[in-house]
Amino acid sequence: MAEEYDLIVLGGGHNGLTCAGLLAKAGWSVCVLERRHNIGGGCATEEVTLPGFKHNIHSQGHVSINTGPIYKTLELEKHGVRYVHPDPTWATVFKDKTGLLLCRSVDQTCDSIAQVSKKDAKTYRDFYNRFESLRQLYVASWYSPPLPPSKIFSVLEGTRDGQLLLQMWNASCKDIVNGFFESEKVKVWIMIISMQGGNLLDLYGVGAYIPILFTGMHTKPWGVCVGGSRQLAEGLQKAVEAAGGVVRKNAHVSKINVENGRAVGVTLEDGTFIKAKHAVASNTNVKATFLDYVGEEHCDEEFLRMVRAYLPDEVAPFTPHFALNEAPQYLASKNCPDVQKACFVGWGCENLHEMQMHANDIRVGIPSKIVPGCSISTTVHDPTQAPPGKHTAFVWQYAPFHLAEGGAERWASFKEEYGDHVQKVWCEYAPNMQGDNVLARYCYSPLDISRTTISMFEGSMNHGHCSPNQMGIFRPFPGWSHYRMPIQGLYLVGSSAHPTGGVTGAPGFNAAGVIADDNKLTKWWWRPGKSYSTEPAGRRR
Amino acid sequence: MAEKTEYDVIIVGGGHNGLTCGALLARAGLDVLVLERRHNIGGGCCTEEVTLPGFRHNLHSQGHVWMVRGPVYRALQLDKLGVQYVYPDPVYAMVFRDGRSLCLYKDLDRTCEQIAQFSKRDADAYREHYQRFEALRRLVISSWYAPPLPPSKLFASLEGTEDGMRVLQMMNMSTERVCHELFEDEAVKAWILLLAMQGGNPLDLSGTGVWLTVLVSGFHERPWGICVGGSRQLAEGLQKALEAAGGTVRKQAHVSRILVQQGEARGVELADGTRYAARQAIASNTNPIATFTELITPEHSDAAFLRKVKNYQADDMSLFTPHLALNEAPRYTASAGNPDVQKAMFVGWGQETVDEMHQQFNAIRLRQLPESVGGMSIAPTVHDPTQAPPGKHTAFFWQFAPFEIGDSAAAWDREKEAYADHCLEVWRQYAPNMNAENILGRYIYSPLDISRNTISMFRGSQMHGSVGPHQMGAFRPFPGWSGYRMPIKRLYLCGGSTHPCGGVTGAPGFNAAGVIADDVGVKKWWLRA
Repeated sequence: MAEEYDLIVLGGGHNGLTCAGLLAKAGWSVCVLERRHNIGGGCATEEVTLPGFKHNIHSQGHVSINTGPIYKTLELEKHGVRYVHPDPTWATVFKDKTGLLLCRSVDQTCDSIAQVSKKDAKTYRDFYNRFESLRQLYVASWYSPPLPPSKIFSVLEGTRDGQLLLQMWNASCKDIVNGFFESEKVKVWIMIISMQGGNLLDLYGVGAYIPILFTGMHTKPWGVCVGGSRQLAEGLQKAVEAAGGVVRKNAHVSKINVENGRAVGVTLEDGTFIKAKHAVASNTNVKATFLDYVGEEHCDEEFLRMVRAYLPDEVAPFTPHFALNEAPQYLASKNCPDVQKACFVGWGCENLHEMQMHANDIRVGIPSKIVPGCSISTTVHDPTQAPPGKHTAFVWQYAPFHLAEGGAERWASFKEEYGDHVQKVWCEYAPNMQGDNVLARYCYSPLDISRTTISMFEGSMNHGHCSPNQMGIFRPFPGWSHYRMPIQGLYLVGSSAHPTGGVTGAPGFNAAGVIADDNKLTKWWWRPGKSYSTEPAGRRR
Repeated sequence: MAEKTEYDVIIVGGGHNGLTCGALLARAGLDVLVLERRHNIGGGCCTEEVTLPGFRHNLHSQGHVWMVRGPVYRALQLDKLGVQYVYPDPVYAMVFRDGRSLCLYKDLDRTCEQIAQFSKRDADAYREHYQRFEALRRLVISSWYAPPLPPSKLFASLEGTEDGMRVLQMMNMSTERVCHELFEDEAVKAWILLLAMQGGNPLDLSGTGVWLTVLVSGFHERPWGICVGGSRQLAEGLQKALEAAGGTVRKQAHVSRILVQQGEARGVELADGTRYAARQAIASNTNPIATFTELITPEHSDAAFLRKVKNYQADDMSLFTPHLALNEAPRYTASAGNPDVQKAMFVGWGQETVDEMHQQFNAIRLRQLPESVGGMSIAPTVHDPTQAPPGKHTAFFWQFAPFEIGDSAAAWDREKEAYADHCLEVWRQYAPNMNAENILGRYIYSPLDISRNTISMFRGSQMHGSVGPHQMGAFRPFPGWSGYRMPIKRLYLCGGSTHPCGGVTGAPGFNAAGVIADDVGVKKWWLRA
């Protein structure tokens, strides 16, 4: 007789594990199936250069998972998940050897800004004071299914700050920095980090990200997961197992079995059928779920149209990882010593004009010569990630997945050359990032991402573009933003569902709530008074 | 008799919106004065002999559609006041280097036949899209002729249905994305995007996508028309309507100040010192930047408001427009395949792929002259011979361009002739007779020239300000002030920087007239019961 579970989770990324952990503790038998030899998906830590050097090949700074509801409810601390929170969180360094700091303290941050512009420092403080409360509202909205825009807007329309936030929402990040700040350095400092969300500077409809991000970094700063990002996944696995769940690695699902419009289980590549009594939760993206695992024959045409139209991220990270003797030494640290203590360090771009050139290049498929790099040397903050006294570091550079010359495949032959260029730019700011100091390098290209983590199709770190037409109730598409899919018993629990990618655990958390509702399980993790509607907006009838 | 110096309503700027607002209020019984800085009224509805005598060139607006379809034309009975339109068919044709062409006819079936030559699937998609969103299109258009709804209301009305949700999603998409979802053929995509671009939207940015749906509707219900005698005839007709109701239009009357006392707009002062008092209202047809930083001294506004004014953004792209006096109209090579190309109102050429369009936007964002030229051309005289001497022709095309080249708008004065040569070379690839012998005269109208001639179009903004989603609807010109009333009492905005936006719709003027009528307490006679 076939193996049988109440819930099967396809994919052992942090969202799948979160969903499984919550439902296992609610009393269900659960089984998480991971294709790779390691769980974690984007929470991946691997020794890709030399033994003992642990590289976080995707996610690095975590904020929402450890400050949102998941860390506490699943007792991740008990399961060995710990964070350090470097201060400053963010520094940007410039060619003239100056640096700008984002510290946990608003005062210190304003002091840093005041060195280039007193007016901008004042604006920044004003910004923080005005939007902190709205940020809380926004972040809270991540941990429940998306609200219809009319509801969100009617809440915000009532106040002046709310109206302004709504206007920012519709603007581009470039509009926001140009409208509020005067110093080019301040603009670049804000822009490089804002871009880490995966959107280009001139995209309309994402401007509210700036006030939300920047207010957040003072109250809930980004943390580095001790031991590497995969420790988060390991902790989640322990939570699943502690509640009686099963996590199986090297278990490659080949299809989701559908009978009479209902998901009844999955079949592994070796032919094994595993039965799902109540639900199948797919942690991969919506495209793979329906085109690869469910099969087109089980979907209607309009639904398939939307699946096919679902867009990958506009940018993909190109990430050289380094094994180092010593951490990067920034020239700017002479004027601004705290640069060396920052969690993230940005460099490579001196003005918005260059950032626009970088964005333009990506849109026409060119790996840009401009490198608005976001780098981190994790081992400065957590020495356990390298052999004693040694260091790791990496930089994120955004690039197109499809290259105008040679397509995506060209990354295989081109990545080392591009890595050389990125490294050369880094050396202009941190001259020790070359020669004997570099023990080894591993270039992780957009193509590699799509091969290693198949959910990140076309190098999509967010499992799909975070443009406004694919966010909120439009994620993944109108009418299907509430984790339930048109096949009964099938749910989407990964980042192609609301709110989006990143290490938030929110899609898995929200999906667990919906699955619990549908199966009359007690949402033991839900605090009273925090109820929400799981009725979909504009659902097709 | 001494000149009259007191009116009920003074309107600053004699563009078509100011005149619309003035004419409606005059017929409501108010004593209205319109003051125009230039020697001619019309603003963007402007027809001038800039090349040779007898050649009448429409420097800004050309095809009008919403003005005639919306309520203004009928309410003011403009047809009886000499405002006539001709409606060429096809409305639009795109020609390709290989001699193919794609015509957009008034008739939906004929248009679909044209598309089917490129892709049968795309023809079906076009028809389906057109029919599916007909009702919603009407809703969008009718929303233009009323003050903007709060977004929550607008959204709530759409969230209930599947089609409504799709419209909401498209509102958040980019035009290009909507196009990619609908069509498969590269030529069909270029054909529709080149036309959609004319709204002044950067097609590759999110938040512009519903425009494609709204735009397409125009053609098969009531297509774009050419104003007989030139675009300024529309303004002349509006002036007649205003004067027939007892209003006054004064040209070469350069308002230099709006006079504010005790938080109320009380009158205006001209550059020559003349003052006019306004008993009830002053409506500014220019943009908020000019209104609040030049016409009104800053001490009358609070800092938060002035910051919004300062942050009001110019159009993302400006227009570069060579105007030509011709012996004969452009003759397109592609007319060998379909003679109707010669009869089309707009003829598009130059950018045959979406990539070429990207190159254009990229160049504009870096303040460089785009090498990639996507011309949208018209020879109005093919449809209305009165705009040139007998047997002769005029023609022009639009190309999008940055307001500044590098860091300098002044560079346009040096660069414009050479850039026009580059564009003309591209045009000749499609219409070989656009050569030196055929061109009798030319006048190159640059983004800088736009901003000099029509000061409301600051930084070359044909739409009076960016039409990105953060400056539309309830956010135009800024949050909290989208209802035409301004923080200074009795002061209103009535131009393209208010909802819905620029373009020849008459809607900002129409809506502002409604708000003023409400505040003053006169009857909105133009509303049907």
